[in-house]
Amino acid sequence: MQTTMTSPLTAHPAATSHSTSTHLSIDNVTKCFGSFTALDKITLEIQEGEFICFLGPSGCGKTTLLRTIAGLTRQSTGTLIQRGKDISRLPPQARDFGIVFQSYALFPNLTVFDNVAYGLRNRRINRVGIRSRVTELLALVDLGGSEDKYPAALSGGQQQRVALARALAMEPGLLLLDEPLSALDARVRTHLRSQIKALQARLGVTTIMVTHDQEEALTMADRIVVMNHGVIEQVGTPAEIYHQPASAFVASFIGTMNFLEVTAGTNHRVQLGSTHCDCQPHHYAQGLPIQLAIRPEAVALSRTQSELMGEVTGIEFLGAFQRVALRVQGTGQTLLADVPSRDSTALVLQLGQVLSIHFPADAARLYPAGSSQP
Amino acid sequence: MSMLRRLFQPMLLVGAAALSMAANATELTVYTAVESDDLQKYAERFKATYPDITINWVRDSTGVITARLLAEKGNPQADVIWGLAATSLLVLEEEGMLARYAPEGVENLDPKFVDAAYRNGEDPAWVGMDAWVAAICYNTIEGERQGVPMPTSWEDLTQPAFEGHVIMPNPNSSGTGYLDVASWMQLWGEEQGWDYMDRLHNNIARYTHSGSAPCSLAATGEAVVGVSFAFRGARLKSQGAPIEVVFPEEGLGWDMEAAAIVAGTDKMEAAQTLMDWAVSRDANELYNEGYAVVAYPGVAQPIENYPTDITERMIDADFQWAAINRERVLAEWQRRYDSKTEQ
Amino acid sequence: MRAILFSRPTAKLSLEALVRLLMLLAGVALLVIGLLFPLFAMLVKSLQGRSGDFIGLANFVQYFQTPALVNSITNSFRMALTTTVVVVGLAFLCAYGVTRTCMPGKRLFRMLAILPILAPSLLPAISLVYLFGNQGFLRELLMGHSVYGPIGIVIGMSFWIFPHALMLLTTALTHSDARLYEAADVLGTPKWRIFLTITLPGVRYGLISCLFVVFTLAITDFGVPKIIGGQFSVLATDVYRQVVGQQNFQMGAVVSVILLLPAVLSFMVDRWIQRRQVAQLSARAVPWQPTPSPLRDWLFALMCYAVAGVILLVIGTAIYASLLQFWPYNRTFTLQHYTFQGLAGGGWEAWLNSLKLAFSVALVGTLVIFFNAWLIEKSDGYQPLRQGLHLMAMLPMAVPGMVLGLAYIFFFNQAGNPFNWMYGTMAILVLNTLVHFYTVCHLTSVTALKQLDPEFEAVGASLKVPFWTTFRRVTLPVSLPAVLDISVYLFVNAMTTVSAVVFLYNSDTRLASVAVLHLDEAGYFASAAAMAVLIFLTSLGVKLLHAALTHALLNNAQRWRQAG
Repeated sequence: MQTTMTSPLTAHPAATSHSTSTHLSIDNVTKCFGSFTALDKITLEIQEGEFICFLGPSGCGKTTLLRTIAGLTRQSTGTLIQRGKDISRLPPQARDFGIVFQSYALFPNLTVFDNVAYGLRNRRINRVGIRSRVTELLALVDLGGSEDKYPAALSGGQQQRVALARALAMEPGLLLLDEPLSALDARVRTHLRSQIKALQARLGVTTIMVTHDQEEALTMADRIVVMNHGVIEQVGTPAEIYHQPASAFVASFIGTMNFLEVTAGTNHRVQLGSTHCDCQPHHYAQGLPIQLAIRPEAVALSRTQSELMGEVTGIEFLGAFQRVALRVQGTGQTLLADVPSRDSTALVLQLGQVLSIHFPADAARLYPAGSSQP
Repeated sequence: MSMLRRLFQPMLLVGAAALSMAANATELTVYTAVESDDLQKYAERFKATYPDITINWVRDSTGVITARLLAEKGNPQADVIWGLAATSLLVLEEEGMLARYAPEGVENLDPKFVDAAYRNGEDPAWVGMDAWVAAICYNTIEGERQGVPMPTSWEDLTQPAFEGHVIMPNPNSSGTGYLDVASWMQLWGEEQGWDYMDRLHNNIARYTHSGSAPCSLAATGEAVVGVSFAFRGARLKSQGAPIEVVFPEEGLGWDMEAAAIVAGTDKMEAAQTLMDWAVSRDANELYNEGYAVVAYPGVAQPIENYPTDITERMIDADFQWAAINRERVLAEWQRRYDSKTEQ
Repeated sequence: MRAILFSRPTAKLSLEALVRLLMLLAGVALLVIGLLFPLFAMLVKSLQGRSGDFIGLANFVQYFQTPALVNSITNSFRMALTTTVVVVGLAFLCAYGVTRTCMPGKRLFRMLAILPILAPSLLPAISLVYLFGNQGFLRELLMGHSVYGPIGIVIGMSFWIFPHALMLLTTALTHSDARLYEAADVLGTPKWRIFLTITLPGVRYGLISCLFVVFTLAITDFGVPKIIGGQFSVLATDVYRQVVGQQNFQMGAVVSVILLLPAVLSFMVDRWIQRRQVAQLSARAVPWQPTPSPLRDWLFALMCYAVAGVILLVIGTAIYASLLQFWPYNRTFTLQHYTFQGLAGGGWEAWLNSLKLAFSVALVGTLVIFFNAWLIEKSDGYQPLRQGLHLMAMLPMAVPGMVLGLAYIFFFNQAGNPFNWMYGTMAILVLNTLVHFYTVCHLTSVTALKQLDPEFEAVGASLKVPFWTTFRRVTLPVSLPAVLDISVYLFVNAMTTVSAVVFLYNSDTRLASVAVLHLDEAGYFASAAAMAVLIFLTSLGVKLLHAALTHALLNNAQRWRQAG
């Protein structure tokens, strides 16, 4: 019997080839609860071996999408194809996935061993096979020797690792993680984050993680799916999401972002108050009010004179850098700028000081006025 | 598993009953109102005589059994009624619920104890077993303590001295209660009867559900006087209750326990066997262990705490009248007195 | 159905979905057949004449024209209201003593206070006859009033309803927020103002709910007024009298409908209050701990002990009564009344039947009710079925036992009813009792299930384990304390109930509780007391067994429960 089992220590066959074959394709999936649309025509392709994060504020539909993939929630319309098989109407039992919940959902009356072996028992695998498999899985999550403990005797992080081992026990083609780290405290969270990531990389199992924590998404995901109000705002690598947010929502949800009300000028210029600034080429009609988004770390300050000046209204010390709030002269809008600590000495920052503001043209992005911000 | 078995057991029983019928061991369902003290005795004796017939006894007070039979009219559960007041059986006969049958040896019985139709050449719808006779239980200790004299007549009970000390059964639920009411009306005529009950009602502490309860209550001193029946009084006295069983001088109302076959039974043969036994001398000797008056002439032996001349004191009861007027009289009774009925 | 079956790709999966659907349908069928159909049959009966013809509201017109019957409405309300005031007043004081003072002997008091639940409501009525009847040794306390009637009814009902009220109010008073009291203390608020402005408002929902529960129990009870009511008629006993005494089934149905109204009304108010109560106490509340205050503590202790004393006196009297040769004239002790030889009611056989019924109901009922609650709470799909099942599960609480019993006659004894075979069997008693006490068990199950992690089923499914395995290996074991509570609740109630089954027993399914009634009716008072005591002792035994079992179980489960 044991020969039928692949060791979790060997990488997933699909992962070794690292082909671009599609593991799961979600096509036009819509889910309505009464008159409320939780998912609105979601279409998404997930590649074999990928680590995908569904990121978004609570209520954006990311958990509903995960539960739809698992079959725990049935979509109103649309299809789901997993490895070429239409799973749209299959119950959870018939789908190929393992799942870990925020609440761990460990069976409190069963030992760690029995929890991990829960699904294996049902497969008519002999006892020796089960034992070696469980031992292997627990070693994989660094919990060797905890077999006979009950979940209540473990810390939160340990419990979540048991849940992970349990989810992996059946060698699922797809691992679903529903906010697995949210219930843990900050230090455990960081530790477990890298542990999960390493494990996923080693096993090569296609993984979807739901989170509302952008840092988690940025550090762990191969690709991030940013969702809001039941629609996908953007799909991309962490760098793409961070540096080229596709919408004002994404821009504001990931990291810190300044939004300035400007007026479109000629095709690579915008007007901020009475000042004209360079930016990337755009196609907004001249004179149209739009938003300019720029990250604080992209803003450069200097003691020189220029067209765009701002008065320092606040300074926050954040260790590696200082976050300076400025009132932009001529518009009264507030702008944040991150000044690396070693540069701040040169600037001799103090309140009331008036500094010159520079935007690198390629760092600023333009969005229609009034587009959604969280 | 056991739940399933429990649920299916009744079905199995039905199946088993069907099988056993083929094997000639019959199960009879018999409804009865005889005193439970006696039922066991009767059941044992019958079983010894006819081991092939198993009887499921359903016992309750006269009113309850009658109610049950009427309620089940569309779908009768009983095969035989055995030991129910003749007045009730007459009501059932009116409803066409009885099957006529002349048991072997019915000709030996006192004609008073057999359905009148028999005298006209028809098969009787029912046959009598024994008579139970109205009587008053009087608690001598409480009577003395509370200054309530021992009554000697029905009329005595309406005297002021008895106010709040008399308990009688509700004729609506108790056969004894109805025989009291019917006998007063037959003694004095209907109008006088109501007049008497109006006066009696003033002295009544409460009306009980069953016919034996008034005597039991008198026996435990809860009441001084209980209108009940002789058999219960005699037995309580034998058990050491400080009571006297009084037989009022105006005359004693009585009713008989009787037996009949329920129309539509699919166990006619066994039912007839039971009826044959019910009129036998053997059975009548058994009835006599509790009742002084039985259907088979010459069987009766005197009983402890029973007067020997009781037969002479019994009024000439008209069961036909009692049955025909039952519903009307009870409705009127309820209208007049129901507020004092024990719940 | 076909579509559901064939859209599933493999045989095993369609089996699981099918089983789930079938179970759900079975649950719905149980309550439709065991509750809705009979009630409907009863409503129909109330609109029919003697021969089964439709006569509209004529029966109701006749009812309201019969003073003896209409009287019962006022009687019932007067009595139920008096009982409510007495019981809730007393129970509030005792619950306050238990939760808000440092009185000694709390545990003992709570144990003694629960005893009346273990006895049929006929027991206090019988004891009252011995205590306050014409030969009663305390009859002078009534100063010439008769115990047969309103006085006896109120005392008897108060006795057996008291534990219910005490439990409800103890729960309500336990949930308090110490921060409010600290704030009031700091502000120098006098004690009586603290009571009026913090304590009372804090328990107001619990208090109102308790008022309605007690009122419903009092207005629907049959046992106490049956035995001690004397000439005082109430609605519940009218049903019995109309049916059993006068064979007037139509009028029985009319009285049942009338009795159903206040019970349903009070039930609806209670549900409404329960819904409002949910959000009342914030999760941050800190439980309040009483500080010792000798005078107050001893005053409350004295009162509670007095109540416990009365409870013991009533139970003791029943035991005493059952042991006397011939009360009041021959007071030598004997066990002969426990032989029930040749007496009405069925004797020990009835007791055995009661045991059978109680075990069956406890076993079948617990599994069925808990599993149905699981289907409602933890499965998905078939929303209308699940919602319908939940609604029906809430309904039995509003249906008085007398009404349910009578409704069963009307429904199950129709010729041509496919369930007619149940009539007169143990099966109908089991079904009736199960349905009669469904609601409390259902609520207990739902509460227990809501405390479980909502994702157990999802995890099980993701691990390809069928739902029944997860139910057996996880849900049931984790909920075991609640499951045991339910089974012992069903057992005790099946042992003690009279009202519903009094219409349904048969010659070979006679029950101990009904035997008490019949023995009393026939005038065998000592034997009636003996049978009541027997029921009490049986319930007590099972309750003690349950306590021991729960204790052992919790000890055993301590390993995995400790932190959770």
